[in-house]
Amino acid sequence: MEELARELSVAIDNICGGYHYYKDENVLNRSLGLAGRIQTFCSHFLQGNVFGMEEAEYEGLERYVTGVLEDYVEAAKHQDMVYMMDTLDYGLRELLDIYMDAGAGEEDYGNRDI
Amino acid sequence: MGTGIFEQNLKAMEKWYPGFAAMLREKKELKDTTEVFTEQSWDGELIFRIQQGERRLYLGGKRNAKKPVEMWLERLGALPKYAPVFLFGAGSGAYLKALAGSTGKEVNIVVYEPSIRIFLHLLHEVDLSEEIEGRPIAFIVEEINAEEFEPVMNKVVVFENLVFFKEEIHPNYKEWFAGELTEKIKLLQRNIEKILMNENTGRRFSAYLANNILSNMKYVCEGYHTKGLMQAIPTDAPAILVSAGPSLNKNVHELKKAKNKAFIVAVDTAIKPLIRAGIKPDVFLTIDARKPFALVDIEGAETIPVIAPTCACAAIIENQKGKKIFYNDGYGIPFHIYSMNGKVLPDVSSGGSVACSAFSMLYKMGFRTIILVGQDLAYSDNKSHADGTFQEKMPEENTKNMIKVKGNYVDEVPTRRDFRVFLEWFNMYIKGAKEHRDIRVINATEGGAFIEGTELWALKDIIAETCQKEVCFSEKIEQMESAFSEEERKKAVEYLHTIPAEYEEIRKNAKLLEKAYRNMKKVSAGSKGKRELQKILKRIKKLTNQCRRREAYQLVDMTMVPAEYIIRSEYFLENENTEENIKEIAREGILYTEILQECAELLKKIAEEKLLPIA
Repeated sequence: MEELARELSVAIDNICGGYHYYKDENVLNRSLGLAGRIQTFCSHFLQGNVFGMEEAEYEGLERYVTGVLEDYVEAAKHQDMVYMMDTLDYGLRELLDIYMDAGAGEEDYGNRDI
Repeated sequence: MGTGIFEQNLKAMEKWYPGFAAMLREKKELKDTTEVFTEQSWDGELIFRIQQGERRLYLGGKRNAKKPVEMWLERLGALPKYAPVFLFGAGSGAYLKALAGSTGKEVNIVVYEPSIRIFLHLLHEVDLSEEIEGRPIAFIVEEINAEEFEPVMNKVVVFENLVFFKEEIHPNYKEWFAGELTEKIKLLQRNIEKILMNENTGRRFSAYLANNILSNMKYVCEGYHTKGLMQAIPTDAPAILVSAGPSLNKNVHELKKAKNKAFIVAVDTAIKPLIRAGIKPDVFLTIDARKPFALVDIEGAETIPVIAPTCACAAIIENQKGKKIFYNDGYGIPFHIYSMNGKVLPDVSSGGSVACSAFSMLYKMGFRTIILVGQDLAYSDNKSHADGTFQEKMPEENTKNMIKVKGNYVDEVPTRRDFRVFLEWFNMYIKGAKEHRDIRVINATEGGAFIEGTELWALKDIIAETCQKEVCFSEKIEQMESAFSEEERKKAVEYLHTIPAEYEEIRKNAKLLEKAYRNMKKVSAGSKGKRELQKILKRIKKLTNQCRRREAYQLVDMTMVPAEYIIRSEYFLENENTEENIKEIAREGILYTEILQECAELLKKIAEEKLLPIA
């Protein structure tokens, strides 16, 4: 998972950074190219309470993950570049960071405000 | 929707653009079908989502609306004073607010909004009054004032601030407003190309101008000018101005009947078709510094007297065996040759084309009837010029998408922008001329654009009506007297012999200036540095004045467009850090003075070659 998270994170950096700093507008195609990996990554959170969280907390996480996936699909459907970048950079990124943050483990997740 | 916010925004707008605010207030029916919804982003910002049919687009981030704007500002970097920034799409105003808040008031912000509904929604939902009131932001909105885009653009984007020009498209606007945005961006690009082209033309022409002026000086010393021509030529006969429009080929042969009955003045481009038709005009006029010599390269043309500004193509002037009659075009050296002898080199109004200058000259000479021939100012038979001018057979062009103007004999004729500029000049000049004097302007062009204030005649008929009296105009020109006595001419030549030394002085001063700028670079901060700097600046001012006060300097100035660019760009670039600023000025100054030395050296050589042999 950590490897996949790192891979996705780099891809998002390239897509969003490319747009913001270099006006590279090829956002949607590149984002859609990540569909399989995003699905794999998100399914991991939806397979059950793997982190051993409180029930309410886990429900919150489930809602968040589902929301990210719905937004991804909606952004793709409307071919909405702004929506897509926001979903990836500020939605999916939060989930990726769980695996990316140095020293951050499963036990830290409960303190995250997402 | 908030009427309060809307009113607040419009009130702020009224400070700068009351008419625009009134139009927004009065706007009722909208063609735009974009639906606009407001949402709040997770980070607490107001964001817009727009909809057309089933498709919806966000104009700001649903989760994080602030960060993308911050990153955008970061990419934009620090904008110096007078930088022109074009924002395509106002969206929810976030980008505009950020830009206005992070730049000086002198940064020129132009906002183009292709959707009136988004713009109205913005004014109702977002309080922009502080930003709008604080500086004149130019808003161009479709269905309100889209036609103002071009004039605003022309005003805001100039050569000096071009390096700082920014063109930013609001995220997601390209998706729906691609057509509108492309149209406006194309206009901007064309304008930028035009600005660069004009500068490059100036640069291209400048070296030729200096060379032409120095080469033509020996002829200026001969002392023939347009006022002298006026005194020599009787103006009770008509004057015929022959231009090189495509319809010239239709009636050029008629001009034979007017020889020695009308004063025939040709533009340089019309020389070849005239000579080939067996007509030798009494004079011809040439003004362009880089006119192709080939246009007048035909046997028989070399004996025609020429009228020209002092910067006219030296190759053409040199080739003419007849009299060379000059008029003032604002250059210091020829002006001084006349003024040092207590005389004035007369001027001629310029309207851009050779024909405009020729017409102005004929009017000033006092002619009461001026007949225009070949003055199409438009395409005839899809051709721009008469056959036998630039090419033996001028190519036919596709005129389908050209601008159309009223024709002489048809409702509309296709024309080019430059021709239309000349047409407007004629309209304006003739109107003014008629207010001052009783003058008949006959247009005997067999086709072309209609010039206001002219009577349309067939050339044959107007010659029969007006060309009655026999006058040998070429003889009158031959008998023209020089403005200078031999003593005055010698005085002028002596002055010209001093010009190479003038350039040498300028070069020496430029070297000293360079040294001063190099010293400036070493100045450090603090009170000691300040005193030192004041001393250096005083010296720079003195040396610059020593260069500028010389007449010869004008030609140096003209030939150093790149240096001028350095200085002009620098004017807009103000760095708050004084020490850095001084170093930057010093760096630019060194560059400037290096070019100045090169130019002075180059002109000294040309002056030695062209002026010293004049006896």
